[in-house]
Amino acid sequence: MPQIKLQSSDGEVFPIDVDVAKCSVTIKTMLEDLGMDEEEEEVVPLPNVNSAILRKVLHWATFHKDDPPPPEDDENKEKRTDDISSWDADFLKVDQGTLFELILAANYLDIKGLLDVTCKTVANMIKGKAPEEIRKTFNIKNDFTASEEDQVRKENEWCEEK
Amino acid sequence: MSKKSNKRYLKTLGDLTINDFANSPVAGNRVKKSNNPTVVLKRELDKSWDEKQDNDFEDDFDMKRNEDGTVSLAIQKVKPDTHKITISQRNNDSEGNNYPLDVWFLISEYICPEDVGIFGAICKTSFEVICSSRFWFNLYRRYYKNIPGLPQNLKPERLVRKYGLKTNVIRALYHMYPQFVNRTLKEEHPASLKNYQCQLLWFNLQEKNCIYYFKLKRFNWKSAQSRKESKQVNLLEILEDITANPDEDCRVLKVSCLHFNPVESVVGLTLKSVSLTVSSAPMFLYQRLQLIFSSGIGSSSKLSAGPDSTTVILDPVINIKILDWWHPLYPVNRNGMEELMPKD
Repeated sequence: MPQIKLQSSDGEVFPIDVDVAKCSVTIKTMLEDLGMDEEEEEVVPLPNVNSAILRKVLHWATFHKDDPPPPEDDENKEKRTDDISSWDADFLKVDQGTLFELILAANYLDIKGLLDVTCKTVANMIKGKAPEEIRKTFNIKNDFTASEEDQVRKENEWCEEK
Repeated sequence: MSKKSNKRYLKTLGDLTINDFANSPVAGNRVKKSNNPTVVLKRELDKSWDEKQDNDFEDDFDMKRNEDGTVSLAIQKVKPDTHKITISQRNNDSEGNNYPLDVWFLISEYICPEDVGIFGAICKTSFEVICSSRFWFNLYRRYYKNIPGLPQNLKPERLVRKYGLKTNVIRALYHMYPQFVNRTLKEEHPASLKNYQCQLLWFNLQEKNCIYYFKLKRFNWKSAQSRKESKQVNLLEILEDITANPDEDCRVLKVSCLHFNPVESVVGLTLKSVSLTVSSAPMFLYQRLQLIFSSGIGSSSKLSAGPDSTTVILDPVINIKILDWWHPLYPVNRNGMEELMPKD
């Protein structure tokens, strides 16, 4: 199986099957556009992903390498969030920071399946919770003043159930 | 500053933070924290990849000039752990993390309509997302259904401009999104309209009944104050205002009566008391609604009519509905832009 080497932002090199690496549209396009020979010992630099996250991404991509290509995103369609596979759900039992970094990495590497599943996980964790509870779950800084918070709530009365 | 004036100065302080003091322009004999080169340098080093600009990566590569004149770039061997700072570690101060706008935009595409308010209330960055036209166009596209009865102005071909976009998308969702449609079926007691001010009153005399409409507005001290303080904005800015909503804080009390009841004008008066009892009409099938309006805002509600109050009695009442501005039956001006036109 031909392999390529991916280098994370912190210099760690990951030798990986080309098929797995091509789960990423960014890498796939790069290989195609640059005409990189799969037998060459070239290292593909990924300056936007650190080794901890790249390891997780490659773990996900290895498991999903035989999946059929994801359907084209239909912007005019409601997105379901209740269709996460049990493997993905277990895979994403990570700390909140890693989850958000995986979203950014999936977006940068253009891995639609991973982006979908990470965003769905966060959306599900937000569902039906109070803002304070969400901030606590994800350790997010509350940068609103009390009056701003009140104003935001008032502006969004339309989506509250009476 | 003398002790006395110092005290006076402290009294005027509002929501100032330590940071405001640290970067205060008043103290001129020290360097501001934000201008301190050491601090800036540290910030640069601490930048994560998602905060970097393209040219920030230039230093990560070694440039080598080859014998044939071409230039090749090689990745520098970075010392381990220097770039291993994760988002959570980077922001992990006692107050919590700040995630980049991109992340919130990506997540927002998976947020369902009933969670929009919660999503926007998480932090200022998530709020910024729900204040963007991109978010509202996207939400509309995701939930659009060509259902019968959808007003023309809420159809995709008409929903193209930014002005009042949020208002229109919310109204459209109350036509299209089943969870919101179900909410409109719930009954609410008119007592919830106490302390609302009557803006408009009209009736529609039909063959078998007479329908009264009271357009009421919740008095909002804050928006009244901000209106006073707001400077003149130009028309182009107004046209970009996705939150424009002339019916903000408004609700309509729709009362269907068996026959016409004479009603005194209560426009400008505040609803102080609501009483809903069984009508004395035959068979006790109907209700009797008594509304007491009086002048003055924010005064305590009176249960009985005083000399400065006006009483409206509607009897026999067949049906009462309270319509929020987003309710599909809310009587709305379909033009929506006329408040921009000169009043005379």
